[in-house]
Amino acid sequence: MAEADRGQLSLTMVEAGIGVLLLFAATATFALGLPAVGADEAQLDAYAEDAGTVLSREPPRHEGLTRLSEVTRSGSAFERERAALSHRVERILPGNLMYRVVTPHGAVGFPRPPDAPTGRATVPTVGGRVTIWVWYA
Amino acid sequence: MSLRKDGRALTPAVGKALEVGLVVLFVGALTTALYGGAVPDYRDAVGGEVGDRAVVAAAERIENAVPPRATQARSVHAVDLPRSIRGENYRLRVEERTLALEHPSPAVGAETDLALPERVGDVGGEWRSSDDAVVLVTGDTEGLRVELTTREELGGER
Amino acid sequence: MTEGRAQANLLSLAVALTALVSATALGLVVADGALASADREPGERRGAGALAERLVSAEATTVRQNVLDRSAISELSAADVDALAPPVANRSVRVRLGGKTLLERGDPTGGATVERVVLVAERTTRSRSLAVGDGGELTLPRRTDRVELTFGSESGVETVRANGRVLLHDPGGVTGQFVVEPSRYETTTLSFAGGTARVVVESTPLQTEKATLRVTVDG
Repeated sequence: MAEADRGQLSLTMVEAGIGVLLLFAATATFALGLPAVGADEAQLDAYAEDAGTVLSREPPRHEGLTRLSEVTRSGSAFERERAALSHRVERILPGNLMYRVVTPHGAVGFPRPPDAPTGRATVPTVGGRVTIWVWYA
Repeated sequence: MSLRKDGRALTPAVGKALEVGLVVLFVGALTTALYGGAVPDYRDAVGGEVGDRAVVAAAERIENAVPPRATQARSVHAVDLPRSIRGENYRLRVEERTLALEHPSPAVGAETDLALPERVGDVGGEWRSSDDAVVLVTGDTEGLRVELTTREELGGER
Repeated sequence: MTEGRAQANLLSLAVALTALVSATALGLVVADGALASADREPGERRGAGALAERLVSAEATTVRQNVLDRSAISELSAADVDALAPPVANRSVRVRLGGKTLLERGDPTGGATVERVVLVAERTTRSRSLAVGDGGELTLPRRTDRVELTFGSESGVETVRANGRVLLHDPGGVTGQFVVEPSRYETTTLSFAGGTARVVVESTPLQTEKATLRVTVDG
C-alpha cells in the first residue's frame, strides 16, 4: 500500500521535473546572450581604409607615382621596398593593431588570425590590387 | 470489503481524468495568458530593435554609396534589407534628408537623419521591404543626386 | 486508503503545476533581462561613425581625404558639427584629435566611440628674397603645395620654366606676383632665363603629422 502511494507520487513529480527542465532549456537559449555585433569589425574596417588612403597618397621613396604603386610595380621593387612599407604601415596604424598588407608580388606583416575579427580594405593601384588587413593585437 | 475494492477501481480512473483535465486547463490558461500579454509585448520590443538597426544599416549604406571626391558619377549599390519586421512588410522612405521606417505596427518605427556631403543636392525615393533595393547615385559638376530605387526599375543593371 | 491515493495524486499534480508556473515566470524574467541588455542604442554608434566620416572627408575640414586642416579643425564648433553630421544633433558629442579635445558638448562618457587615423596638415609660410640670373635655377622643397613668386619691377627675366616646361614668359621682363603649384610627386626645379631679377619666394609647405581622431557620441 505504502509503496503504491510512493510510486504514484513520484511519477507525477517526474513529469513535472521534465516539464521544468524543458522550460529551463528554452530560457537558457536566450539567457546566454547575443553575440557581440560587428562594432569591432566596423572600426577595424575604418582603420584599414584609412591606412590605405594615407598610403595611396604618399609620394614614393624612389620611383613610381605613389608609395603603393612603387611597391606593386614589380617583384624586385617589392623586395626592395617591403621593409620600408612595413615600417610605414606600423607608424600609421595605432599601436594596438597588427596588420598584413597583401600585394600581387607578396605580403608584409603578420599572419592573419583565423578567429579574431579583422578589418579589410583594398586599394587599386597601377600594378594591381593591394589588400590591407588589420586586427587587434 | 467488496465496496472498498470497487472504490479503488473507480478512483484511479477518475483521478487520472481529473489530472488530465486539470493539465489541459492549465496549459490553456497559461497559453492564453502568455499570448495575450507577454508575447505581443516581446514581439513589439524585438520589432522595435530590429527596426532601429535596419534604419541605421540602411542609412550607413546610403552614406557610403556617395563617392568621396568625384563629381561625375553613376553608381548602383545593392542594399540588404530584412524581408519583414514583426512578420509584416514595411517601407523605408527618405524625405528631406531624413530616412524613415514606416511599419504598420505602432511599436516599430524609426528615423534618422542622413549625413551627406554638400555636393549632394537631391535625395529621394523609397524602398519596400520586398524590393531588390539599390542606391543609385548620379551626378555631374552641378551636384549629386541620390535615389532609393529597385533593381527592376533600373532594368536589372548591375 | 484509496482516497488518500487519489488526493495524493491531485496534490502532487498541484505541486507540479506550481513548479511549472514558477519556471515559466522565471523564464519571463530572464527574457526581460536579455531584451534590456540587447538594446545597444545603434543611434549612438551611427552618430559617431557619421561624424567621424564627415570630418575626414568634408572639404571644409580637410586638405584632402584623411588629411585634416589644422586651422579649420581647431575652430570646430558645435554648430559646425551639427551641420556636417545631422545624426549627432541633440546628442552629447566629444571630438578629440591626438590628446587634445577639440569640442565637447554635454557629457558623452558611456557612448559609442569611433576612431579614425588621419594626418594633420599645417601650413607654414617661408619667405626669402634672392637674386636670380640668366640660367639660374631654384629647387623647391618637395612637399610644397603652393609657391608665390614676386618679381621686382626691374626684372630682366623673360622666361621661367618649371622642370623644363615654360611657366611664365614675358619678353619685356616678368614682373609681379605669380602662384606656382608644384607637383606633390616630383621635385620641381625652376629655371630662369633672359636676365637678372630680384625674386621674393614665398612657399607654403604642408607639414603633416599622424594623429588619431576620436569621436564619442552619447544619448
